[in-house]
Amino acid sequence: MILETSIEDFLIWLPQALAHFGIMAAIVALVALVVGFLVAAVRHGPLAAGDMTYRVLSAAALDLLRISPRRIMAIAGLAVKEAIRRRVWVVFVLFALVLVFAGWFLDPNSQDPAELYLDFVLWWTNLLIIFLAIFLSTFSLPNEIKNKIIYTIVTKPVRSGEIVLGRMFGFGAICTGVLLVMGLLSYLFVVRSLRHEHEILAADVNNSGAGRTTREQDHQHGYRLLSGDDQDPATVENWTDFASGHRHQIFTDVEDGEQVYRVGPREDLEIARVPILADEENFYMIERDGQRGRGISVGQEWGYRRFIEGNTPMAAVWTFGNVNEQRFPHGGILIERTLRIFRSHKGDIEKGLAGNMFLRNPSTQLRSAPFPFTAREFVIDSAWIDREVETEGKDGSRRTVDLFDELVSEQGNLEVWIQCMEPGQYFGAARPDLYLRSDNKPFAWNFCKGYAGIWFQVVLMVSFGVMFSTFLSGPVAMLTTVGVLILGIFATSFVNPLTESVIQSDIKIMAGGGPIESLIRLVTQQGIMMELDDTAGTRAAKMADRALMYGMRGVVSLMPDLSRFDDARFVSQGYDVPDDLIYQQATITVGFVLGTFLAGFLFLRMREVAK
Amino acid sequence: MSERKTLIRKLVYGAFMVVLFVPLSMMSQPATKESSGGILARLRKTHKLSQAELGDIDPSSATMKLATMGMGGVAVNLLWERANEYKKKEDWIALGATLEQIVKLQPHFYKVWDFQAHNLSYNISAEFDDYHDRYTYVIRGINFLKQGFEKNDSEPRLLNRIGWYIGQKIGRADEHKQYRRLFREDWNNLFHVTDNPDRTPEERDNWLVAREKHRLAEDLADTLKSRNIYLKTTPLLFYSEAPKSQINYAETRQLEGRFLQPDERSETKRAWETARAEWREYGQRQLPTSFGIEIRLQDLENQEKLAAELTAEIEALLPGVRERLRDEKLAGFAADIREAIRTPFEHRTHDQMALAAEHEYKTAVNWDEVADQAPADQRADAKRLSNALMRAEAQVNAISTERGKVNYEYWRTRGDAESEEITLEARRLTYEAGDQMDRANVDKAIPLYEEAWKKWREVVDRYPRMAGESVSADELVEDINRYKKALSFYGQKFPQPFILQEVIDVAEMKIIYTPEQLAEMEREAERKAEQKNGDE
Repeated sequence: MILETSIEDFLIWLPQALAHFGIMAAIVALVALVVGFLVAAVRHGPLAAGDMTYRVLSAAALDLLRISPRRIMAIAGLAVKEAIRRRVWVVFVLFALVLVFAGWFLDPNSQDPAELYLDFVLWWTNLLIIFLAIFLSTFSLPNEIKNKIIYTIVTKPVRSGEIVLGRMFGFGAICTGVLLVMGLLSYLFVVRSLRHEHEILAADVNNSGAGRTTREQDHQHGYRLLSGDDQDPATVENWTDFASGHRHQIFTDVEDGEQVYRVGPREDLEIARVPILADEENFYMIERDGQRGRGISVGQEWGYRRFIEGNTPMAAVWTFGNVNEQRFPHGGILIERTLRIFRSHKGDIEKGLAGNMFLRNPSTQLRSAPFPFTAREFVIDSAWIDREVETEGKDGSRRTVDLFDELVSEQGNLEVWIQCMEPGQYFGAARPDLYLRSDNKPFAWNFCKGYAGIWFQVVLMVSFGVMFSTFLSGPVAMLTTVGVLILGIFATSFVNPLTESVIQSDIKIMAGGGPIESLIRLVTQQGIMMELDDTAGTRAAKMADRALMYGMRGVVSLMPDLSRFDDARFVSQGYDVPDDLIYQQATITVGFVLGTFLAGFLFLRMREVAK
Repeated sequence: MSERKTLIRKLVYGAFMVVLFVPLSMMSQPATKESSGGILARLRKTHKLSQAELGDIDPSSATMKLATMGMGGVAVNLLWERANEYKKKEDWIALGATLEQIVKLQPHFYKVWDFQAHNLSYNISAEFDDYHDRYTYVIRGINFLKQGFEKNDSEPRLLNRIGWYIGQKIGRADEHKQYRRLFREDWNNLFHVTDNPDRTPEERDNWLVAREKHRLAEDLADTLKSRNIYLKTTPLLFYSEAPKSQINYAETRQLEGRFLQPDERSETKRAWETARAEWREYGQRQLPTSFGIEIRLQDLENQEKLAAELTAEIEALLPGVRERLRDEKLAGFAADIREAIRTPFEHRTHDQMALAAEHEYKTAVNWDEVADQAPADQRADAKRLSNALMRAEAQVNAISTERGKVNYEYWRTRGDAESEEITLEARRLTYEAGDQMDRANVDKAIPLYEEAWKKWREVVDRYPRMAGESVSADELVEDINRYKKALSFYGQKFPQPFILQEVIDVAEMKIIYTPEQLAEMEREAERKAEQKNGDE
């Protein structure tokens, strides 16, 4: 699992988020008030302006208090009818076309077709529904104002707030309906495309219980069957090897005195893994000198993982909190890991790199005997640790202890250490590369959670679209909302590093400078890493860029960061979408809906038509 | 009034559209059986740009291009950015999907296929630790090129690249033993099943499949040449790949010890004989060069002979004229420059070297100038001779340069020598001695080595280039060093002078033969061999 930014616990995140929201809301409100007052003051004089501002605010507050849910629902109903009249079903046709011709664009021989197929349907759903939301929400109100249909509404006892909120609810509802249908179609498409069954013929299983399944969907799996301790095969879980990004469980049975094998459905279409990750501060590396540190960089461009050198004291350490038998009731814990390998010499090509894993009590420093393993890349390697664990003293003495009683500290913490055993070779790891497995969640539910991320984005786009449509014409409102979408998508990956690099004059964050500096570089054909000549002109350009970037930073801080809404990556990689993330997204959405509603309401109130 | 204005405006626009429509429709008229169509259809045909001429028509590609609504360039740019990002973040699944999209938008851009196939086979494959995964990505790159060729079936370079990857990547990587085995087994049905399931196990050798692909590329290039479509790569190297693959096949058989049993030995000998014949056939091929003339690599000796004969003829016709002209040119230079140029190359001081390098070319007298000095009645003959001589010299110059690029003489000699029974025997003894060393049977290794050196002496006497070029000498010296170790194990001294002393001297760069010296040594050996055959 790749997780470049950590997901905070919702209850820790909420106070900070509320504080940030409060500050931003206060700043926006203050700026709006001052600007409104100044405009009024220029036109009518300061005293009259003060009076007008007070009257607008008090009337608006009164208006808000008198909002009627019944009228909102009526407006929402109208919005739904309008959307249907505007042939919203075209989106279904488009989506169906995409699914019908998906085979043209998807490679069934991909390393992991499930990830590819899921990414594909989620991406197309996201694209179509977002554009539907933007299109519906931005053209409705301006068209009604242009066609004067709005008069039939405003002449009724309907308040501005109700018009805005009703539209948000109406378009939100219709998009939700469309999204539900698209979700259902996507689910059926993915499951039907990927579901397959292998067979194991008893004759193909060799003496050591190994063999290969039948070939289905261009792949087959290897396996090695384990026999149960008490001669009952049902007590042992048998799994195939990973192939095409998944594995299957193997069930053994005896029929008419003969051993028979049944291969279950692919694991990742049945379940979503629930990883319990170590906290950010509880993942670290032990350096060569035995001290805590950050590990080695092996010169990879992507600094996500740090490396530990083999046959040295170096180790990667994860500390997990709240480890107890209530949380792991199955008589042990399942650890899953995905390590990276870096070889500084060829070594033995035929063999993988050997490593050791052991558990340690962070308080008593009692450690288990090592669990040796051979590292495998790009697949999830799992290790089941029984509750009865053999420990190893400093003098090499061994004794068996209870995992939860002696290896977990009194505070409920457990350390997992990984070491590479091969001299001159390296293991790379990041915090999410090793985790404890909790009970699985159903895949279908996780799929729904993946769609929740899309739904939040739809709601956000509808809110922004309706808000912009209260004071802009249809096409302009649409372009502006698309602008919000683009800024939201690229905020973290592009806009924020760009603004920071220009404001701090630090090319390490992002090279090339702001728009004016970039233009100079383009025209004079100077590379982005070259320092521009220090002339008055370039200084002025950089200063202007800085001013622009301050403005950009301000604008971006008022927009939702849509990269936080990408739940699809969890679904496509087979992991449960963390509940904390969903709560955070829901909170952000509510905040923006509230903000855009208030802004939309005030803008509409100020327009001649709605007075 | 305003409505009337609007109407007029619309009518004017309409009229313009109609007027523009006429030339547009004439320009874009499609070709039919009777007519060659409008200018666009004709240009498309001339430059072979229509989809059907380039390769398979792919509806998904056309859909993608249409869907981007003229923003294909922007989309491709974004996709390349994403591909780089995915590569950086090791997201191979997303990278694969992105590459599929890129090639759908740029299906006829050779560089896209070449670049991304290299990415898959060389860069991404190296990211995996398990050699099975690495092999999978090497084949992915190869299959990506095959996919490219399906869409660009007039692009021999793609076939050439396929051959190169199958040969060089599978056959020369650190993991070549494992890769060659997986390729022969067609592990996971990655290649042969879809490429050609009828190959025999031996035909599944990566070098032989590489040769097959290179031959296909050559056939295609020849067909295109007949349609005046020329290769967009260096023909000298392009046509060398197939025979080189055969050489590599034969060489790999030796390195893997597949010549110890009699049936394998005859097969390896046959492989070398084929390699020898193919390399000579390559030498006979007419090749364009960057000198603006066409050459045959095999022609050097003939052209040198011709040049020598013509020089003698022209010297006989106009004795001493060339020297006189040179002296006249030299007379125009300062004394120190004259001195520098007149001093033989090996005796020049550092300063003289610099002076000669700067001015010597100005004193060169070409044969045309010599012919100009001929009396009027002999001038026509002199001109005819000088022209022929300059052509021959140009050939000599171009062939020598081009031969150097592909190490032509060395591989020609290798082919000749390795096809001989004596060389195979020398190799067998060396291989078996090495094998005994690996098994720590030093006592058995020593006599085998000593027997081998005698055979090698015979080989080197017959083919001096086998010892005279460092490529072979380095190889042999590795074995000689093992022999030294074996002797020292028993406290014995390495014999001085050693029977293959010049091999050691060449490897240690104590002797560096010039191409002329090597050629002379070869001629001498040839003469001796002929004399021996005559005596017998």
